[in-house]
Formats: sequence, C-alpha cells, structure tokens
Amino acid sequence: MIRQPFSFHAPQTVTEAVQLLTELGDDTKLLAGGQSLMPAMNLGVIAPQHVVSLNRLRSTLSYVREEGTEIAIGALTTHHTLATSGVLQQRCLILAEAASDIGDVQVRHRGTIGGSTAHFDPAADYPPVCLALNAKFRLAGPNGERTVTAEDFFVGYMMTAIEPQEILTEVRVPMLLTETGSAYAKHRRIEGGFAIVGIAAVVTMRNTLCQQLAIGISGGGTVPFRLKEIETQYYGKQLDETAITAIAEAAYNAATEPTNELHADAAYKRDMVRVFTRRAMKMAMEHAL
Amino acid sequence: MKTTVHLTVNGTQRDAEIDTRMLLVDFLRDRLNLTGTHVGCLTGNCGACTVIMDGLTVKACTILTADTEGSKVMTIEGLTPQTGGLHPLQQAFVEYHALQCGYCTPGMLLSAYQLLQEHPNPDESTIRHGIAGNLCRCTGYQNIIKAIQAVAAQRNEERKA
Repeated sequence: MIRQPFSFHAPQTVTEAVQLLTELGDDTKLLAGGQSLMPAMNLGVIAPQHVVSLNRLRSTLSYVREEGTEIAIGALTTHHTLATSGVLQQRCLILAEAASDIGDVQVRHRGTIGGSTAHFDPAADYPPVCLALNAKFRLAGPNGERTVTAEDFFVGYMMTAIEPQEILTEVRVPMLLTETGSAYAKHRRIEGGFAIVGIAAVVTMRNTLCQQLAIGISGGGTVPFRLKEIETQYYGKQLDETAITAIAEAAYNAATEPTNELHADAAYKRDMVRVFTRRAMKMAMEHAL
Repeated sequence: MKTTVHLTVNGTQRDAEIDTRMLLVDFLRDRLNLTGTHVGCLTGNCGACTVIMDGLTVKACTILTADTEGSKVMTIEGLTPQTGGLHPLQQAFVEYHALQCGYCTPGMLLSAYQLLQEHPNPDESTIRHGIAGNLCRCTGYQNIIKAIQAVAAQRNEERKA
C-alpha cells in the first residue's frame, strides 16, 4: 500500500483546481488517469503531500472537436477515445495510431493525453507525434491562459513548460489535408510497450512533389526532437527511394546520443532510428497518395 | 487523511470512510471482502486487479478509492450469476482448461467479457490484443483464446437461431 499519507482534493472546475495548486504549494501532484502516477506512488518513488485529482473535470475536459482548421482535444481525453475517434482517423490519423498502441486496453481506458504529455516520459508516444504536428498546448494558471507550441512545451528530460501552478487543459492538432499522409512507426519489445524508438512522419504531397515534411523522433537522444534541417531540403522535390534513404540516413546522423537502456543499447537504437524513419516515411507516403 | 466515498459495487451502494491512500483493489478486497480481484504487481502491468468501472475495464491498483466517487464498479463476483452456476465465459474457461493457478483468471475473464462486448466476432489477433493487459504465467494463453473463441462462436449460433 502507499506508505506516505497525503491529502486528497477533488476540484470541480479548472478555476478551483488552479486555486488549489496556488494554495497547496510545491509538494502537490495532479492526478488524471493515474497510469503513471499511481505505480510511482505504489512503489514509493514519489510521495506528494497533496494529490489533486482532475477526474471530476472529465465531463468538461474530455472532447475531440473540429474547430476550423484544427482539432481541439481536451486534456482528460483518454487514449482509448483518441484511438477510436472517427474525427482523428479521418483528419489526423497519426494521433489515433499513436494512442492505439499505448500500454494495453485497461491503460488506454484510463490514461489521458494531458496526463501523458505532462508527465513526458522520454519513450512516450505522443511527444514525437506532437512535435511533427506542431501541436499546441493550452495551459491555465493563476494569471490566466496561455498557449505553448510543442517545440516549446517539451523542454527537457521529463520536463515540460507547465509551471507549478498551471494545468494543461487542451491539446490542439491541425486537421490534415487530404494530400497529407501521416504515420507513426514505433519499435517496441511488446505490443503497447514503451518505444525503443518512435518515429512520427507527416508529409504533404502535391503533383508528386513534397510540399511539407515533418519528422519527430524519440529514442534518438535523451529527449524527442524534430529533423528540422532535413525537412526543408525536400520541399518541391520528389520523395523517391533515394530521398527516403537519405532522410533515414539524416535521422541516423541526427541521433547522436541515444540513451542506453535495458533492452536496447545506444548503437542499436541509433540503427533503429534509421530503420523506423524509413518505415514511417513509407507509411506516410502511402497514406498521402 | 480520511475521506468519505460513495460508489456502487456489483449493484450495491457502498458508502465508506477510507484513508486517502487506499487503492480501489484494497477497498474491494479488504473492506468488501470481494477477494476475487487480485493484487499482482501494483504497477499497472499484470492486470490481476482488473475490474470494470463505469463500463470500462481498468486496473484497480491504479485507482485511489477516494477517486471513485459516484462510480459503478463490477468485480468478478458481479460476473458470476447471482442465481447460481457460471457465466458462459467462466464455464468455457473450465471446459477449455484456460486456467491453472487461477491468479490471473478473474482479471482475464473481465477483459474477455469487455472484449466480446466490443467485438462479438473477434479473430485470434483481436483476442490477443484484447487480453494484452492481462498476464498469465501458467497457461501460455492458448486455451484462454480457445475459451473466448468458443463463447463467441456459441453466441453467434444463438444469434442465428
């Protein structure tokens, strides 16, 4: 059982939740799906004095809505909802794909995109996908609301731009055009397992020429990153076999410091970055056509 | 710290004063004596603690009892018919030798139950995917899959009749 005592709070609104964070101080953890926090608390790895559950907010912060050229997703939307969302499958397939291989059925029934991205495990699936999509993160704090782009949101190792008194309330992704193909290629030891490497590719083609290209990579370094320098080189060009090979090679070159882990050493991960970048590109291209 | 919670378990309203630290799995086992739900890993991996909460399978070791206010929970005891006998899935598990030590079985049955609700006609791949959150150390899963396939087939027959 959990050893350390803690106070449990269950606010009914975002305002109330922010208020609590301001009052309770630093030794406070937000609880959403609990699929990361609860195991950590069960093991005694983390022992906050206060736990603020956001689960009373599920009715207001769980949604997938088309809004203009974007899809607005409530932070408490579960992986299961995202994986099975018709809107995402039609308009942002890569996000539904990523959500569908997180953990297992039970984990996906409870875990949320807000909780997951705020936790920012380096081997998680949403970060490289959000980077490739230029996703936006809306934060609510004592001084009001602000929006942060993915690039600025994922700051460092398990660190996001969320300030201690802020709550992530929404994630926005673009509605992808019909000429845009997207794919998430994940190398994992078991189905639903953490990504050894995870490559997100979003590519827009017009008249066989590349209009836009975005590649997000996890497993190639201590934190996920975009292949920004390479991406612009292919605008207006054909993405033939040579190009895809070159892109995969560029990904390999960019993955200079993968971390060694139990199931995969750095050299292996680097090779896999190349392999799975190629796969993601091919899958995204197929989807684009 | 103590707090009160009101939830429904297997159709019965339960109001309780609990420690904030109490996990749902511990509440079910220690307070309500519903010991069919098991504790395996406490890290949300093994699925031995699987219950159905508000219509969806979840791992009860990852849920604080304090966070179940107003929820409806079904445990394995809720799957067993109150009038006696076994649920078809339980019966099939017996017939197809889909359990040995039985530790994963309650969780496995609830996942199978949920799976068949969503996929009445699952192929093997779908079944494996559907029980991926329940680890079994004994059986190698083959007979579990057969048992689930048998129930699905039986229900198909009944639908056609």
